[in-house]
Amino acid sequence: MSYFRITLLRSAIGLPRRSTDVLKALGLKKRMSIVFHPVSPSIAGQIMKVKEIVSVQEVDRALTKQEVRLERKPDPGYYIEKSGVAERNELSGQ
Amino acid sequence: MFSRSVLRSLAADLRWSAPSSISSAAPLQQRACLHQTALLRTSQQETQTPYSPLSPETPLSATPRVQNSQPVAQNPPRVPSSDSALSFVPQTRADVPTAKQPVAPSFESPIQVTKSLMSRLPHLVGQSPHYVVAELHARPYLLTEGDHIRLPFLMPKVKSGDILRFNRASAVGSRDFTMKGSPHLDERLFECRVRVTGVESEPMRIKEKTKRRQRHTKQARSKHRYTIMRVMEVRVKTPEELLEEGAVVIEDSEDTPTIEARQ
Amino acid sequence: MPVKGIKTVTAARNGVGAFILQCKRLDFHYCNYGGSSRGMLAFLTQTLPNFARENPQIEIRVSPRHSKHPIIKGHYINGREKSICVRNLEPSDILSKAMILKDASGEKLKQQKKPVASLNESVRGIWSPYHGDLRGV
Repeated sequence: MSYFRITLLRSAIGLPRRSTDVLKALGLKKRMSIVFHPVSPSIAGQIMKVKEIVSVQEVDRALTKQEVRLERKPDPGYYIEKSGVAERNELSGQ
Repeated sequence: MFSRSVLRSLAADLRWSAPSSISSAAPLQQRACLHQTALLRTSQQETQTPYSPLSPETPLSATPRVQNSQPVAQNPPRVPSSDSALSFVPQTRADVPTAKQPVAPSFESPIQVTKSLMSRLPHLVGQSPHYVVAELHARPYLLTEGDHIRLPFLMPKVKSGDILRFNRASAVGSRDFTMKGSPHLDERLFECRVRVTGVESEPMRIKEKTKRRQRHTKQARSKHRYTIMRVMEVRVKTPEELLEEGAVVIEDSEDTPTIEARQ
Repeated sequence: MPVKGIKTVTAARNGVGAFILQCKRLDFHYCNYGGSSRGMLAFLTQTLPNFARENPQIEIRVSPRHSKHPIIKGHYINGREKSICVRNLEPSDILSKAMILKDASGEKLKQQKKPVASLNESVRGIWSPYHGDLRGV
């Protein structure tokens, strides 16, 4: 089953009530928010209504909220190689 | 944004196959390149065309990792176990894969180095001192040996005296040569060790919060704590060391990296 | 007059080779009578032995200070000292205060903008307009 991955790129401020309601129905509340919906004619129609302010990709499965978060999360860039206690024990062991 | 016709075609036949992929999930091409001086370029002119091809190394996101240092006894936070890693879907904030945690990496396949990188590497290794642009949580820090770092945050689960390895670097270089990764270098190409020396804090900050038409003012106090550390070592591994660790030398191929002269 | 070279002095860079904890001594002062020392007295009997065992490099002194609030005072290698008043605190809170003094560098607290402070010369040298090739725009 494939899904639409819909990202709200531009805010709906100043748009007609209908468009705002469609965004609400899709679950897009603020800019850069991402929702997943199964590919269906009704969803496609909703996207059609707000096509100017969203970007859409077709993906295999709906990601969870945490997975979307993890896409943005950078690597920590470090790890603990040796703890200070271990080093002291080594030195005292010699 | 996408065009009406694209949407129509999508909606019309409801394709079940998904040809498009998420852009951020696309593997990052890792590249490495050396910058060289004009001086040296004159001697090696014929070999050194700008943007001369090197073959791409394995994508960083998919790079299997080999443990090349002492294992660290750490209490592992909640992570999917290895057998269910494929089927595991992170649901809550607590589900963070090991790759995104400060855990010593374990490699499965040896590092792949291109021939031209191997040939340039002695120049870089021989010229000291070295600097490294290490990235912590995607923030770059330009470090040389002996530098004092005060991180803009309190690093969790480290104690004073601990030795850390910085394993994400966008560039390692000396005076005339720079090895650049795109976006990151393989962590087995260099060693950057850092000692945690303690925790510092800033002077108490007092911010007066006022609201209109009220005589009352509130004082918001904050006093942040920061981890301080000292760079122990910045080192580039020699080709011999790399080969000893089982590096595989691969042929240069068409698409990628660059060897630029320092100008 | 002959030109004299500037003498260079080795700068202390603790942690590059060996690491020495900057806190060399912790003084624990308490009062046997005062109620504000109650937590401190419990800390001294219960938690302090373990704390001292875990940190053998720190000298620990315990002394009474009559009819005053209990304090912890840290002495540092750079000659400065820091003290924290721990009146009416629970033993666990006192332990966290002791950890703050243990990890501190002894320097005066300062706001810092730049994360990295380096004593080394610039690795790539200082840019000069008279050297190197002309760079195309």
